[in-house]
Amino acid sequence: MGLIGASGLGLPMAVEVEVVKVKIDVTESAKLAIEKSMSDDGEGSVLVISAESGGCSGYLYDMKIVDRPNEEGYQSISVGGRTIMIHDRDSDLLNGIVLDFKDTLMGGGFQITNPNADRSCGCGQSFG
Amino acid sequence: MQTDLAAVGSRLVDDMNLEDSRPTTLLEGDGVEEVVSSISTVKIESCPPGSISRAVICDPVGRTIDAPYVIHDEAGLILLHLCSGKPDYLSSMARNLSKKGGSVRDASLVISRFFQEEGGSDESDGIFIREIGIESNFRIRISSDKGGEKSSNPSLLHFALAQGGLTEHHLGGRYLPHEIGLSDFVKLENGCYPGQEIHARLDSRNPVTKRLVRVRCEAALEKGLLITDDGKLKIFTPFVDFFAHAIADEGLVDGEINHMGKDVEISTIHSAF
Repeated sequence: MGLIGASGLGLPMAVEVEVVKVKIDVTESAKLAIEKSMSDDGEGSVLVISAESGGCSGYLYDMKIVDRPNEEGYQSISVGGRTIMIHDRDSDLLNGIVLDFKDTLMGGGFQITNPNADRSCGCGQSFG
Repeated sequence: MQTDLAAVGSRLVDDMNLEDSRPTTLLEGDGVEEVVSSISTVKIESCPPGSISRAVICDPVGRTIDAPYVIHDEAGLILLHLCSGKPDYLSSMARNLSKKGGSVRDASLVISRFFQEEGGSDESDGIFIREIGIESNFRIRISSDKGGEKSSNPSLLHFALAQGGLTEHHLGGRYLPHEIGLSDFVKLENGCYPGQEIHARLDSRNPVTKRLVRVRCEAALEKGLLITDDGKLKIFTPFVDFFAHAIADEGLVDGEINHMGKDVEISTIHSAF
């Protein structure tokens, strides 16, 4: 028996999120990198970009190649022959991002430029 | 406000179940430990129900916003906040958890927090967090019972909190964790968290040498008063006559020192409540 019973809890904290229709820009180098990264994956695979709490500045970008999520609440964006999906909960944070790919030995990989970010950390993976 | 220490102390003894009115939150859903760890200076591991962990939440420049005790419960993680209002960082946690069907709920109505006299109750009733106070004669307890008594005197609760360690004064982005007795909870191996870059620089280049201490003195204490001639002890939070929190500089050890003919007792706050 835990401390918290079934009754008496407050309602879930309302997360005030403005759901917007997400538009993102993907550079040619990023498109090639996505295609290369997903070349071994089937047509049911998608690239999910999300913003998780954490990182040096409050939010952390996350990119995953996964099977197309069954849950509702995702927006799909076609890029070349591939699909990028973004959750409605992240739409206000990720709308307008530019997804780039830098092929350098140090600091290379996917890079995100976010017009919604007030600040970002040195490694570029976190924003707030 | 100046209050007589002896009078307050005796009233604390009378109020064996002094209720702590600060907010309590329940985090529900998969991966709640990861969600807390992602913004905490220390990783919260998965633990059996009833276990107690500690999180420290900082702003991006490394200053402490909150340092909640984390109770592992069958229902999820219970956060006992130290700040008096709901902290803003709950919003980002709620956003994260809601994507996976989890949620952040106000648990203040079903969880009571007390300052309780040591040995004053059945230990199987609720969870004892830790001992508090200069004399270590009170304990923090949480329970699903509503047996607490609300103090009619806000200064009484404030005094109890002050004895335990952290109060609202120390939070809200004013101090580094190292300055307020929380350095043991800064773990750089936890990876990237708000304030981590600052803490990493402090760790490698300029370690914090100051620490939070409690001070008892038979003389009145005033904010900003330098107790020692060399400036190694500075009062910054007087609570009641003869009792205060202070910042002690490197080289000043716990114990008694003599200041203008008065004995001053200094004790480090190691794991402040």
